[in-house]
Amino acid sequence: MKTEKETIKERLDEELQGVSFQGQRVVLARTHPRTWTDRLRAVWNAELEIPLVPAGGAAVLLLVCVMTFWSGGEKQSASPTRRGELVEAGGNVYWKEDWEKAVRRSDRSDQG
Amino acid sequence: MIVRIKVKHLVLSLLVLAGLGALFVYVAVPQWQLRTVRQWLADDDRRGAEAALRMLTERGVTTGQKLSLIRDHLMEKSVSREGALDYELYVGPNHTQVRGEPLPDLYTLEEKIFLLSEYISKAPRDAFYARAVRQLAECYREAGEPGRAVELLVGAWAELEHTRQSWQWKETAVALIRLLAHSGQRAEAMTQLETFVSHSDFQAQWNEELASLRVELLLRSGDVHSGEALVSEQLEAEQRTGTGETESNRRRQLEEALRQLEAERERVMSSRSTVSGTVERHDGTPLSGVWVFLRDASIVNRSVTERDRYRVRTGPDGGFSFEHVPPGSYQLFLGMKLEQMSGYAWAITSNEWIDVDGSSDVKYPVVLQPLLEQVAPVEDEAVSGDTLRFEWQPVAGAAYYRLSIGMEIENGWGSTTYYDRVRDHWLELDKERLFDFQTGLVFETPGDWTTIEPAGLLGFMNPDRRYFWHVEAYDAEDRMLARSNGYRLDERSMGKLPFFRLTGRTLTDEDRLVLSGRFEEALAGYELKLAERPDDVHALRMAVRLREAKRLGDDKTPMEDELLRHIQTLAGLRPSAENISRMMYAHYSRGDWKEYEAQYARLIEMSDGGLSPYDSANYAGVLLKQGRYAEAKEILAAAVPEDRSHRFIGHYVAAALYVNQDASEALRVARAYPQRSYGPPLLDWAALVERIQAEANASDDATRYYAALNEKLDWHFGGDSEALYAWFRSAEYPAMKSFVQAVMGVK
Repeated sequence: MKTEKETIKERLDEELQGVSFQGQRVVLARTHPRTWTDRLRAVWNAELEIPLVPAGGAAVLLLVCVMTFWSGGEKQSASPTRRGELVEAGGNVYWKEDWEKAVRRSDRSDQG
Repeated sequence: MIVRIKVKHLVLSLLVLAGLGALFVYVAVPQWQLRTVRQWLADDDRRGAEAALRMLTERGVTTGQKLSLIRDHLMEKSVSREGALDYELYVGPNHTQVRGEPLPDLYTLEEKIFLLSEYISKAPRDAFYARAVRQLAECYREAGEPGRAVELLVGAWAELEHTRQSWQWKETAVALIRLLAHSGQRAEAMTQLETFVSHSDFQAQWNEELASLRVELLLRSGDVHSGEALVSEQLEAEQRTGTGETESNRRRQLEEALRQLEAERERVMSSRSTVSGTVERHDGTPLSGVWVFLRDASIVNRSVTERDRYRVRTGPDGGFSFEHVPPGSYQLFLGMKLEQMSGYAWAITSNEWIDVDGSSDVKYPVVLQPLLEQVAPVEDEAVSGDTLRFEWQPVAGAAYYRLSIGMEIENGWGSTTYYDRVRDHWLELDKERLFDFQTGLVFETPGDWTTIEPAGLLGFMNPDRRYFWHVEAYDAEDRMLARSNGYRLDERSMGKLPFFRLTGRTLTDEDRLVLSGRFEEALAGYELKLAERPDDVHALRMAVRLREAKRLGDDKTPMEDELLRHIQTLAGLRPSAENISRMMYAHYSRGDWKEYEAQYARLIEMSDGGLSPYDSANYAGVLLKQGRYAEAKEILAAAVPEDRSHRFIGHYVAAALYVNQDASEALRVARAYPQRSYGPPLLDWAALVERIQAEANASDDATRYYAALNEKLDWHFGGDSEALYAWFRSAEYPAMKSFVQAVMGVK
């Protein structure tokens, strides 16, 4: 007696007699890359396994280095000079800011 | 833990990250920086100015943003320096004036030139373009390159013509013409003016500024004749046209121009004198672009205004020149930036005059000297010992120095010159000597001694007070060489603060009463102390000062006995020049002439450098009061020439007339020593004497005339005011009256 499986298999073989698999070359190119293009494609689609912690740490370190290097390159120039008011003291004319600074300085040395 | 990722995904993610990073770095960050820079500039922070230059080369910022940065934060905020009154500091021999709010420029000249050039090369040709052009031209002029400024303006004028921006175009043309006119290229300015006028429309032709520029050019071209002809022609042409408002405005302008040209022609014919010179630093560095004003004696006491017609700007070599200056007495004033003066001073006394006679030229160099450095005592030094040593930087060529000491008072700082003719560049003195010095008194309510500021009464005897000093150097001809007072506006010129304290003594109870304004109580306290210890010098000094202060409102009455006694004791204990002068004054107020003379003799003995002309002349005044005209004349003959203001020439002339009964000597000295006054009334003693002479010759008997004059002079000097005023009311001898009245004003 033929099993159901065998019946189906006979039918299938009959139907698929005209059809044949042609992609052997493609598959072989994928599994055993020989030409440059094939090798490139293989590499391109390869899967990497990256251990997260070391990789992440390395990335952060790199970022930090880049940032410090970058901001260290920016110059810090002189502090603002906003003047505007004049004051007359002891026969001389000074900017009010300079005068007050000088007075504070000598007051401090007085108390010293 | 492990992450599985395909190579292609990793690579693509990294590329995207890099792309984002680039976007961030090249766009987001510059934009954020731009924001910071804008904020800095808005706050007048210098960092903004430097950053702005860097911004210009950033790729993450659009051209539009760069241009608007320059526009908003340079052009909008730039202080124009084109006009004569746009500077901050106006300084003359007797008078210094700071105008407006002196805000320092945020950008250096180079930075401004760079930024403005950038703007001009990239911006659309609109109103802002025109303004940038004018500002850049001003920068070039300031940098000493007027040629480039002219080039720039001519180029811009051409550019704007094509866009038919008539208002911008006109403004640029005017700037060009003005620049040419003020940098001495008058012919070129005139040409450009005519070109502009012929190219432009009717309206622009009669612009106010252009009209006045044209008149100015004509006036200065020296060819007043053709100038007048030109204007007359135009006036005629105008009178033939309509009578609308614009027409009558033009006619008015032309008539005014004609008037000015006529006045100018007279001025040019009346004088061949030129006043010229240079403005430079002591090391020869010229100061260009500084405004120089030549001001007549009648206006020197007033501030510099638009109406100061004799004004010119120094060229790149610092030179200036005024032509056809009418005869008279003038003073020179300078208009400049504060930073040009900082650390330097124009070392001249207030009696600097330029006398122009109409035929000879005057060379007047202006040299700015670096401020004298003060060595000690400085920076609030507390001097506790018995002696005080002043020391300063020596000046090459100085014959002597003049030292002044002062203190802070209610509304400022006051000082007095206490030491004149100091040979060395240092001075050592006893503190007690300083305590002898009288300091100035400030009355809150004039005449009311209870409102005197207490600080002045205690003088240098207050250990809690801050004092200051300054010094001047003079050469053998009494010309100032340098001084320590001035503008100290940058780190280099700040120098040491010239302040010190005189510690080592403590305030007495009476001193504290004085400081709190309770003068009567203090006086009582001091005199109580004196009753116990007559040689208490401090109490004596203070008692004298308080009583003198009380008398200040009323010095006509003879001095009271207590004060006289105090003064005598004081002069005995401390025979200084001040106290001798006090004795002299005491005797003078009581009419004790013999004692007055004796003290005067002592004073002469004490001052080995001779008395100041002021003191001598005052003594002569006392002699006049006693009717000793001949002796007074002798003294005045020496004192008046020495005093550069010649303020006692009136007395000299009166004495000469009295003694000689003739006008010749009086006339001679009045002409030789004209009185220098600041502003009206200008007393012309020579003219007064000439009128007297004329009146005397016109009268029947010249001898009687002069005798009558002497009588009136005796009334004045003798104090017989009743007779004098009665005579004033009479109708006779007007010239004599004018003269006597002028003499009454001498002090």
